[in-house]
Amino acid sequence: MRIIVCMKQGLDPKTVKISRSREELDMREAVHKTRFADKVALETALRVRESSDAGEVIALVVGDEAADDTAREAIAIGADRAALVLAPPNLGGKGMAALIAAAAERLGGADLLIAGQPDEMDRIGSIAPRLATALDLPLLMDVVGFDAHSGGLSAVARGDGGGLRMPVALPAVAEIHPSAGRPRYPLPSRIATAWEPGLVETWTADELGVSEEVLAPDTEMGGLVLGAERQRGQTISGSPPDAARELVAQLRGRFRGQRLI
Amino acid sequence: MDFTIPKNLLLFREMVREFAEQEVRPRAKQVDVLGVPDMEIVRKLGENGLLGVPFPLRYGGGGLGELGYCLLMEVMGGVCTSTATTIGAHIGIGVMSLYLGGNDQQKDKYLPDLCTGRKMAAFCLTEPGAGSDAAAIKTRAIKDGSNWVLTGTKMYITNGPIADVMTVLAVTDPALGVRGGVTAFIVEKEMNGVSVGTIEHKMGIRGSATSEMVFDEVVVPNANVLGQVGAGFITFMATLDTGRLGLGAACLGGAQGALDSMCRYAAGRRQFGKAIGEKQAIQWMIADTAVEVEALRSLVYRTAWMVDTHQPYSKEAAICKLYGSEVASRAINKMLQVHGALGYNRAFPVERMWRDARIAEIFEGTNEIQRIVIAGQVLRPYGVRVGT
Repeated sequence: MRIIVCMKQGLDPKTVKISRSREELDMREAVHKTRFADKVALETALRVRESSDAGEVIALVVGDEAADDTAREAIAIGADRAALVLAPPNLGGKGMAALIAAAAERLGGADLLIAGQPDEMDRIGSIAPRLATALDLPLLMDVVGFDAHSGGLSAVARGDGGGLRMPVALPAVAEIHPSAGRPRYPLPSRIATAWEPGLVETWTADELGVSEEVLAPDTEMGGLVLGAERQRGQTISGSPPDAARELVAQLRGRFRGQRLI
Repeated sequence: MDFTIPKNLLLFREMVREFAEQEVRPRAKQVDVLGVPDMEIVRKLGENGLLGVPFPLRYGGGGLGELGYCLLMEVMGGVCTSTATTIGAHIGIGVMSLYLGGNDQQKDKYLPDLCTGRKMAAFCLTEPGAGSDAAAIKTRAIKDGSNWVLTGTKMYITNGPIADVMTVLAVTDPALGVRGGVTAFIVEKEMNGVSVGTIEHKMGIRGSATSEMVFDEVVVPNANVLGQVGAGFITFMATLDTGRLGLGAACLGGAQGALDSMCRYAAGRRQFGKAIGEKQAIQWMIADTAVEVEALRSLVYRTAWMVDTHQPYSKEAAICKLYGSEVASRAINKMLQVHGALGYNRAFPVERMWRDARIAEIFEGTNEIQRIVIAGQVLRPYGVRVGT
């Protein structure tokens, strides 16, 4: 079984500040890193590979040249190989899906294409439904795991009060829920060799035959809505029992009339 | 000069930070209170390739060199000194002595299990009458056909109670002394006559295991002579050089951790209507610590680079250990002062860090010995002989 995991870099929210005076995001110290949701998706793929004791996991990364680091991180974590598709910075969901579809074909196709859920800093939104549409494949959402068995593959999706198990008709596209499982750590021995030249196949949109028209942004930033400013934290000092009593007293004062559990 | 850390090592540092926060920090207090190593942490360290970081891939190591090892020790030293000590005793001196002194057959036999944590290592040098004066060891190995019979007691052996494989220094020819009369051996805990002696109850690094190791007529095959007969002292001294660098890196982590902690507290703690970080007295403690931490980081990384590029580094490693341990002690002492009474309270990690830091000025060669090593190398071109 060949699984392609769609990955990209996202902004680390901890490195983005809000400039209230200028009503804009202060991106001077912003750091892009591999999205956690995509690492969960990769972990899910690796578990399928391990449970079926066969197959190949390919990390397919879309982004700028810095996203090469994500492709190599995926190899360090356990992907068999990785490919990078260079994309313009304000790529929309439609363009992203087109690039992934073209790259998947270049990679020889896949039995399963999986992606992580979008996070709070994601401008494009959910890519799996767009990809399923582009490739005309069945779509599984909120997947928390797969079971490989002799009869094929079953997916477990997150449901109200429990999970929903369903057989998967391959090929298919799946979006992995962040609760699917904590990603494993990359191994030092794989980290040591992950930056060797030639490990990551890199393509441009042009090389994949995706036109500029398809890549045109399909979303635009309307503006920034700032929430209420957070109040400065307070340190309660004293011995732990005294500090706990003081904390409870303050919480009682702040939430007067409500039940404290 | 290029001070850029390679991208793979940046990812490795990130991986170690995540591992340390997820797996080690939540258990650091318990490890200290119980006073025994947390074997669950040790198992996870091995599973995740963190017990063989500097060694070549062909032996099951991480292939990340000395800088990789220093990054590991820096991160761990800032989170749990006990765990950093367990790692340092295993990688920095235990396995390292085998790697530096062992022949191909010995490396092929022992390193894969040690690098992956299936087995743990210890380095047995110190004896009751041979601490700083390592040449005064009394443990004796006598040739008996194709074997050696090893007898003696080693003490203050970090990882002793959990070690599967030990490198042991013994006198093989008393007439020659350290110049050809001392040999290193690879000893396995299953060998008859090997036992764990008194367990040490320490002031700090309580979550790392330290004990006597007793060798009572242990029959060691000739194939387990580490390197050449008579060359053991050289192997052990060379091992201590790299061990000192790793210890300096752990001290860097401890000092950085202290700096981070005092900054956080100084920003949140309010007295006389303002954060104490706005007071000059606190700012100066923070500034002085920041200066020393930055200097130490440059020193440690540069020395690691010297090791990885095969340059002599004995003096620099001694400087890393000496300066690192003193910087860590000063930084943690200042951190405790900034935290006030809270720092003295056992409910918080500050006092544990303070207790943990003190040993770094003592073990792997006291700081007085480091000064002798450094002075010896600095004065050698002037023809001055430095004595003990």
